[in-house]
Amino acid sequence: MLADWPGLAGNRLYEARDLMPTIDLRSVAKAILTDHLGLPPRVVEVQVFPDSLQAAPTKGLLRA
Amino acid sequence: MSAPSGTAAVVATARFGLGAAPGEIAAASADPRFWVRRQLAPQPLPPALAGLPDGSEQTRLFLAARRAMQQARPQQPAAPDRQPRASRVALAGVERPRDAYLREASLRMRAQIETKTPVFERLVAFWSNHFTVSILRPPVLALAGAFEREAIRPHVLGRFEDMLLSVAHHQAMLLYLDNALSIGPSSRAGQRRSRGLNENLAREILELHTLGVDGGYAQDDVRALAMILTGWSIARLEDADPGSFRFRPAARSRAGACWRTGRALPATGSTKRAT
Repeated sequence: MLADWPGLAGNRLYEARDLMPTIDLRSVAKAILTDHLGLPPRVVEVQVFPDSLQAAPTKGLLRA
Repeated sequence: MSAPSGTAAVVATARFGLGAAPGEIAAASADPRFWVRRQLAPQPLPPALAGLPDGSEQTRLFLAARRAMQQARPQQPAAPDRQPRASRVALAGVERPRDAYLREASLRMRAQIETKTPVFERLVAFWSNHFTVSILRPPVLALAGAFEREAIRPHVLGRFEDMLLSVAHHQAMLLYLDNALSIGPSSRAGQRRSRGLNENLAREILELHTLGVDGGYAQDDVRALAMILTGWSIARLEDADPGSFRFRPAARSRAGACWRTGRALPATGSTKRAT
């Protein structure tokens, strides 16, 4: 399981209604594309998810 | 919407290949149809999959592990209807079946990433799916990879008949659908013991592999084909080449099998692998 738990307090909800997203899914996708499917990191950054430097690949997602 | 040529290249790589690898859309753009067509030729085994144990060796290891397990617990003889748990047994110095499976699954992924003929690899996956075997059956766990390498790959873009025969002779299929244990009711072996005809492989050949569920065959045809397939089995540890395909004349049904068409088939049949 990969998660943070922001809680369900009223002031923590997304749009005062839904569980708050805490992970940029591009980080997870980047880790899968590089560590599992073997894409070069540069291709992932430039072609697959351009302008996404703030979403760094999730570390430790895959076992060796 | 992209220009038509760009769209065709995306379709070629995504729907006929395995999804575009870096540079692949550009490579397919000049002539997307030719990019697909030029891959429609038999391919050698990918380097990543070279040197893995063959089906006979994996089957021999399974038989040896099952025997070791039975001998370790003689006070609890396995009931004949219980699945052996040899997949959990580690023979000294031998890779466990689950580890062998995971290793080959990983290498297969590697081969799909590195391939220069993704259309061919997609057809490998298509035919492996058509002739499904399930690793939920313990003997199949370590054999699924060998099954694809030996029974599917060599015949992709070859003749369907050759693939079907190769599949039906393979240890993975003979064990998955229990034909290795099938005994003709009127055979010598059938007269000695209670175990009998097993129709699983015959039923799947007609329902899944060839005619299809509405293909116009009946239960009599399933039974007739099951009779024809009696004796298609696997060499035991005591036999020559343990783990390899072995025809067992003693299990062969002696009642000549008949199709609904009325064409009688001889009760003796081939004693050798057809391919």
